[in-house]
Amino acid sequence: MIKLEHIFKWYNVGGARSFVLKDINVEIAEGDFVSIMGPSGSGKSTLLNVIGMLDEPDEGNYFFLDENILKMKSKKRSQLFQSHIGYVFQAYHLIDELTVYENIETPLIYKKFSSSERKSIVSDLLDRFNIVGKKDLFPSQLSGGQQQVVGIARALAGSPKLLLADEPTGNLNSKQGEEIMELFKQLNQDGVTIIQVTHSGKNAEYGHRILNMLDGQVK
Amino acid sequence: MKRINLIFRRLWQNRLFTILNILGLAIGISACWIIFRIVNYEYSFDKGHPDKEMIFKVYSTSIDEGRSNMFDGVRVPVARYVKENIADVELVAPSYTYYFNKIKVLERPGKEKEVTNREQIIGTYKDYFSLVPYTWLAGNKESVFVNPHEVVLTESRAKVYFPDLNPRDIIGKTVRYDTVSYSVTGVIKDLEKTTSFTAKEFMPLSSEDQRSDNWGMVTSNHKLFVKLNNKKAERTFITLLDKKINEMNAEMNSTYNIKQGFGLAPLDGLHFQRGIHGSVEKNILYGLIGIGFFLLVLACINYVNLTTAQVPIRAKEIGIRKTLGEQPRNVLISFLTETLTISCTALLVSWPLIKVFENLFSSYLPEDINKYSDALPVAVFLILLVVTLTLATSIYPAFLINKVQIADVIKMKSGARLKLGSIPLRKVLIVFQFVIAQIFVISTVLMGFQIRYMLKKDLGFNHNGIITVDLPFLPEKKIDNSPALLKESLNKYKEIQSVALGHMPMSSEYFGNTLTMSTDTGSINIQTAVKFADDKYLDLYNFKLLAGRNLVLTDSASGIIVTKTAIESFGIKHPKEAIGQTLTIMEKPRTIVGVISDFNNTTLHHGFEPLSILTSNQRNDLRVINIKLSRNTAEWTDAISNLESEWKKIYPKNVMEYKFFDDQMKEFYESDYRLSNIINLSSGITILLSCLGLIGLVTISINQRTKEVGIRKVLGSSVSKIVKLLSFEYLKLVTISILIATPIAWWAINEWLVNFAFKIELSWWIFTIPAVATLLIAFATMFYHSLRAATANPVDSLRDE
Repeated sequence: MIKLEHIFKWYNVGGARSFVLKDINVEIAEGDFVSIMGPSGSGKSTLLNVIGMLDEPDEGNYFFLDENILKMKSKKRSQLFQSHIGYVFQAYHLIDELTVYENIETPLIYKKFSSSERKSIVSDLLDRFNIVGKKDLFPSQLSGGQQQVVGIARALAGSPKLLLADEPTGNLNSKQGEEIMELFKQLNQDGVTIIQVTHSGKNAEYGHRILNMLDGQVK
Repeated sequence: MKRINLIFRRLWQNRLFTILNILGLAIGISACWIIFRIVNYEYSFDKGHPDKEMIFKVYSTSIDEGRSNMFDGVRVPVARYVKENIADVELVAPSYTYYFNKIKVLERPGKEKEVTNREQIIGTYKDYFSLVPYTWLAGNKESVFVNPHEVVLTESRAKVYFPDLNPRDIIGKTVRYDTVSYSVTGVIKDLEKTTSFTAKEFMPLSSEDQRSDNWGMVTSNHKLFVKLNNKKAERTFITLLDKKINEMNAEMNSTYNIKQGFGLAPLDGLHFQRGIHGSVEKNILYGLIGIGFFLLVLACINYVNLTTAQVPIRAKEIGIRKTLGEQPRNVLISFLTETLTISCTALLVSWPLIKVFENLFSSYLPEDINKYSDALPVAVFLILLVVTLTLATSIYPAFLINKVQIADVIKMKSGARLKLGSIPLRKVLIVFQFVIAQIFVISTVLMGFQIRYMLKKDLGFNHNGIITVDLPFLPEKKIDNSPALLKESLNKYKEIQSVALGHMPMSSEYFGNTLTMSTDTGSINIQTAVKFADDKYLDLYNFKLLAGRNLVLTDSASGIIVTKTAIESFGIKHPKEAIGQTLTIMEKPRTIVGVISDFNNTTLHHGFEPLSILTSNQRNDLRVINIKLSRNTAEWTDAISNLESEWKKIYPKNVMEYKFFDDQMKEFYESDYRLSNIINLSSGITILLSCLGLIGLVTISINQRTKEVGIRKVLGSSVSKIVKLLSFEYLKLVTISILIATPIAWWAINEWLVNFAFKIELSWWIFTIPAVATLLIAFATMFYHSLRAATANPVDSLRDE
């Protein structure tokens, strides 16, 4: 599903190149559950952003569903990613002005679902994650764990093939974290490919395999 | 619907900015709205009048010592001459205004109703009704004006005369104008559009006017419209008329070395023709459009400034939305809808604003503007305005926010804020705003100075505590000695210092005439304004006598007092030398008995002119009574009530209207006041708009610097130092604006002052007053926010890190 070849990313600091990603070669198959681990500043988040195309590499080839992403026009690329990827963030990144319901609904609006379709998809998700009672609340009225559940529900709304999660449990206590990870496991079993960045070895164990990163390289 | 709901939710969350935005735009929209109405109204005149390219108003010209003058009016016989002698004229429509003291309407036999003071009654030819497209409610344009005592009424006038009758029944009714009865032969619909043809009652030219051969006198009561057969006829028309009048007045013209002539002002654009009665200066309209445009630009800048300032705060949301699949197009649309919502709300807010304005400043608006229906063009204009505003103000913020890199936003911790470019741009915009505001502020202050100067300047006579009353004519009396009687009766009151009859010194009341002095080499003619007065006049107004003596009543036959400029025009250097010299005025020799120092006869727009004062005991010459009230202002009410009681004895039927001289002077400067008031208002609005923008920017920059302020306080900075730190950045910008604005305003004010013969001296300190004022206002605006940030507890701002 994903194939990265010789991916480099660097910043110019005072004339010298400071590499964030150095010659990354990774292949991830459909249905996989990968955990990326490593110390702070090792480039895990950047790698995830590159995979999610939130950030562009400076060099290398990236094949997504056998298409060379970096050679695509940006509009087409964003359409491709939109329909296949969902994002989950450490800081949840819910839209403060929107209710739980509206947050989950937002990606569907951009995908031009009709309003009745949106209604049924959102209702399904609310049911599935047990947050029907909270649908009219604003993010600030929820606990961190609940916010992250909404964040995951939102990421799944467009029924993506790939879920990218950047330290999804980083701001949660261990019990909440466990629940989220169970949820991921469940999703993976339902066929969603998951790539997560994490600090915690325990959480990493939920994945099928672990990529260890150090100084911009996969060890 | 959903989107609107979200927009309102967001606007409510940012209440402060929403209010600032709406207020700013509402002010801009209101200004444009009102100005559009005025401009649209003025441009609507005579639009759509059939054949307007062929219709002209005839005006008179005269060339006098190389100076060409234009006068909106013609000599009475011109209309007849044109009709009988000029071939290429299709229609001749004189508009000779007639005045009647008493108009009586015979409603039924035996029942008369008196209507007083009706205006807009004209004498004309039948052609008038072909030249102006009237709809006939009764009668028709072919059948009227068969005999001399017919009258055609407009519907509105017919309603006043015969309120209960419908137009058809009015035909044949009788209206008596003074002593002559006219029968109504037509009723026409009032013109609905704005027009130069304003008359309401039409009658055939009086036989006196028909026969008139008076080519000498021209008054503004006699106007003439013609319709020519073709464009080329213009030249022959003027040549023929010019030839005729110079033939008729050959003798007079050669004596005074004048050339007389005529001109044609096309109906198309007549409303903007300089010198035509009731016309409007196009430049004033352009000025208004300019002001409206600037106010709108300022409002837009405010909006852009406040919105772009919020971009970093919104960037996070936009970033997240982008990960959910939002396209740049969506961002633009959401910005557009948000701006549209704000613009529409601003439009709603501006409705009450303009109502308030129309009530407070009705004198700025053209008189009949509310009778003119302009709903459709105004609606179209407002829609276009809102659309343009929306586009102009949302594109840049949307562009800016589309540049946000998702990865940067996503990495941010909550609470931290993205730094985004465009701060220099915002600063440039703020400077621009304050430059405009400052130009207006400087103009306000300086125009205020000039007007104060005009009212306070020594005019060459004393005008404090003087009231004047116009004296009515008593036609029923053979010898009208009422002025003298009134004067006599007032002298006995101690609250009244003195009373004099005569033209007011600074007023348009005077008789223009030529003074001639014979010298060794020939004779010198000068044009002078002659004021008639009695013997108390010089004392009452406290004119300074430079040589000779005051006038006495016996001088009415042979004496004259002239001003210093007058004798200098004759080449006499010292006032003393002038005493005893002989002048000719109105074909009568007169001896100079006194020379007074110059005084201002007209506004200070003009310099001193040669003036002369004659005594008279003729009722016709003495039309105004001047009363100097007691020095003790507490006695003034008594003085006026005494005046009233004496007035009632002498003029039982007439209402007394007195005016303070000082107030009349203000009326003199009405157009200056008007301009200055418009500038005052504009400067208030521009300053307000600029400060709204400033509040917004300061709030945001303080928000961004909360942490810095916290750290500085922990390190021991005092509150005042922090206030200074936070305010200085923007005060610096305001100072730059002032530096840019001052020379521009200096230039503009100089241009304006050229119109005045007597004016204030511009010096640098005059410009420091508005500068300090603006700085103070700007500082006061920022002070509250800076102080709040400076006094906040640093623990709060540093804790969440």
